[in-house]
Amino acid sequence: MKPAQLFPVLLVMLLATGCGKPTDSSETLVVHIGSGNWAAANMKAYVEPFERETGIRVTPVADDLKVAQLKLMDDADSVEIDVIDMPAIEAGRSAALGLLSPIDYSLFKEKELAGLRDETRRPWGVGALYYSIVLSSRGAGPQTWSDLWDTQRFPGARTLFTGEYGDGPWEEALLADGVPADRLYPLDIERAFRSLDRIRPSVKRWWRAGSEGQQLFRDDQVTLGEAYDGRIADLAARRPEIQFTYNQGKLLLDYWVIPRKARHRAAAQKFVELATRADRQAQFAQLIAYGPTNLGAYDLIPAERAARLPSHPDNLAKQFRLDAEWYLRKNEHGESNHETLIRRWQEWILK
Amino acid sequence: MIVDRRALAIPGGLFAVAFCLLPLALLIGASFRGESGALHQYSELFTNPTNLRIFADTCSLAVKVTALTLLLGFPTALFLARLDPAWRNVGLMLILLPYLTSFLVRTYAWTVILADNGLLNGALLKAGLIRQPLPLLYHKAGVLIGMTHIMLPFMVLLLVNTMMKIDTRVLRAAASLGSSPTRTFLRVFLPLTAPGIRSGCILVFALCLGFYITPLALGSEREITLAALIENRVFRMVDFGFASAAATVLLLLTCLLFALPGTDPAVGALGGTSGTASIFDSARESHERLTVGRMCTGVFAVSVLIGLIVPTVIVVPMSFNGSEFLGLPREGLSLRWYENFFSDARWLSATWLSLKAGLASTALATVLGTAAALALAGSRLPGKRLLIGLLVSPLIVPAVVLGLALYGVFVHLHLLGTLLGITCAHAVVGTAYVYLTVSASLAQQDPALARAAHSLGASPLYSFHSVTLPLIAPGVFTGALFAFVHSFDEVVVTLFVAGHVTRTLPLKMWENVRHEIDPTLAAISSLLLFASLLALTGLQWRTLRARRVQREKLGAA
Repeated sequence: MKPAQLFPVLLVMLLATGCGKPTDSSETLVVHIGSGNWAAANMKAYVEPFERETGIRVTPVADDLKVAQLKLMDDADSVEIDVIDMPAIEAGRSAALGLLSPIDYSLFKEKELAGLRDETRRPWGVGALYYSIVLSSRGAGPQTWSDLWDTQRFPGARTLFTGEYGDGPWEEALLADGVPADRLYPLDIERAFRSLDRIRPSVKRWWRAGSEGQQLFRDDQVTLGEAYDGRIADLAARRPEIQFTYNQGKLLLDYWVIPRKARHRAAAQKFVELATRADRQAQFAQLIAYGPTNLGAYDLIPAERAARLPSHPDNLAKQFRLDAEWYLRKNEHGESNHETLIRRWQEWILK
Repeated sequence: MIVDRRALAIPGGLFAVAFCLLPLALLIGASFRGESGALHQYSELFTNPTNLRIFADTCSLAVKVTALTLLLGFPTALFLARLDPAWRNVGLMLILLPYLTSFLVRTYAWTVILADNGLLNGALLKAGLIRQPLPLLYHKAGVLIGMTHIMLPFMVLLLVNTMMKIDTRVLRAAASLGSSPTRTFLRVFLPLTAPGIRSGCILVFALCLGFYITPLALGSEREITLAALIENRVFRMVDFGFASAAATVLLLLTCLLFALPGTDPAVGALGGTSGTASIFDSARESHERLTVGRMCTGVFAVSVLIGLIVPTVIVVPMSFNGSEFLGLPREGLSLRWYENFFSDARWLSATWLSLKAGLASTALATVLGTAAALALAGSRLPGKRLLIGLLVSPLIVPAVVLGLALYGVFVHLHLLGTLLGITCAHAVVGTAYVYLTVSASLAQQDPALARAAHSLGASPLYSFHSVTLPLIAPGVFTGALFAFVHSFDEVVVTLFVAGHVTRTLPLKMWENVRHEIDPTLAAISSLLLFASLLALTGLQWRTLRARRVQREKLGAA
């Protein structure tokens, strides 16, 4: 090519890329579906049926959205995401800040509504799934958090969930320190950090994303620790030496929420309705070991599979529930326990 | 044409004002706006022990990496500078390939090499040198290794360039006057390379201060850098004021470093220009005897070159892994990870977006940068140095600072997550690259040629097309290449301006590093490596061809 032709070519290049056109088009719905096998289950059970039923294309998003980011987007009037799967604490905080749209329950069928437990039917969000943080290990391993903290009996590199988002391994640390499960709340924050001090030298990595926790076990980076049940069960199905137990598991609940300034709110309402139907949740629970929030789903799940879900009565009995209310409660300085924990973690981790 | 040639600098200058200077000014402004007093953010930054600790750690990390790159880079550069031109070019290729390869690819490769059951620990255990795996990955050691690997090419290129400019007659003169080789080295050679060492250290140190990805991916929770603190405060705590204050301090520190005397070549090396084209051009022969010391340097340098290239190319065998495990194939070869890439709509759309942003920003940067270089070459313009500073500044500003500044502006212009926004954010840096490479080309040209064309009746446009442009074409080509590579590789600025949903290829790769590392990354990395190899070949070919054409023309004249 002659150099003289360079500039027209550059100009054509510039135009050909359609520069200036926003990447977002109006016929899409932006949905947070996570990553790894959780994302795959969300795609199959919810996203693909939704696309077939409505003809609306879904743009999947892997990264979680924390309250802070949502607030930032809300303030700037540029909320890029329409449906978010949020843990109870984050959802509660977002609701308290007025960042969420009310869920339009009039779109739900009577039968489906009846199946939703009270705690999953909030004005600002509808329950998406039950899941747990469970003790996991390669080979026969610890049965309690005290065991996990016992580096003499159970040597090896460990992984725990990071505390940087405020919902870290506090309960686990307190249980390991001898606090009975029914007397966990209000959490003794200082005692939790003292307990974490003891295990810290053995923690190889504080995982940030559920799929990262799974990957650390998959690649033999760690031999012990905690992971989400759906992630570790998925791995255990392929790798028999990977084990986990619901003993002293931390039962968590996520909500589907819709930001009040979401661009496609009407479609988002439809998505949330579809994603909480019994038949959809039944398919979801068979793709990944997470519990349905619509009790009607249990009629469609084989008993053998249901027994392996975190919200099955047998498994519920072994676990404790995270108290999201406590996390959102404010102290005398107007700071919520959740915020205190984020701040304390930052100080502690740099120690 | 009556229009003054100098007016060609206006578009590039305005672009740099709009997408660098102004956003930075607004950022600095925001750092002084707090609910509790103008200096509140700064007092928090400098009194809170956690923040001070992060600040000190970032600086100490930068010092260590700088020392390591100098220690490894100096003998390597010495070896390369004394090598025969043909071999030197091979050596330089080995340095440029990592330099042109996405640093995400290299960071990812290190996670596999440094893991407890990784390649390095595996080899050491097998050799019986250690009983327990060394703690490397998710440790400070991993961060040091990863960052040194990324910074080393900068240092070596800069040092080789300085050493090659030394007049060997001076060294021979010293020897003939009875100076011992050691004494000549210490008293003559070292002082002559001092400017290169100084600018290399400043460059590496300044770049290290803004590091974000590598410490996060390879380090433990304790390796929090200033850049990570800034990102954390914006996106986790919505504290734009505090993040701006931290960014302002980082910016000030970087500017001070670059204001030190002797940093011009450092900026040049950042443009990748003086480091590449001119060294490749040099046909200087070496006529020195082989000594024990020289052999040691050679062995050391070759090990460093191997250390540079192996982590860069190791992704290729990893990508043919039959299992989902990380590492080299154990259970047969497979193409499944390539299939995975080519069948996943998310990977493909991210690649497509990166290609579009890359082409658009390269086109924009090439036009703006070339025009500015033409305008400023040899012209006497009041404030010319200031204008050059403005054009080059996007290269110097730490990515996390530029990202935060652009975020603050884009969020109000609704440019977050748009192709236009990403393109402009990339093009402002690309323009600086192109400006530097074209200026370097122009500096080597004889202005009399253009004047001759003019006196022979050529219109300015005609003489530009048929005289100037062919002469500077290698510079334009190199600049465009660097602009494209920059855009295709950019993570940190893009992280800020892409928002939560839009994903370029590097952002998607970074997402995967954080969420689920699997050999798909190795497959993409191999494809990217192949692209870098093509780019490097193109660069070599263009330089060689330009030299041949020039020689032919001179012969004809």
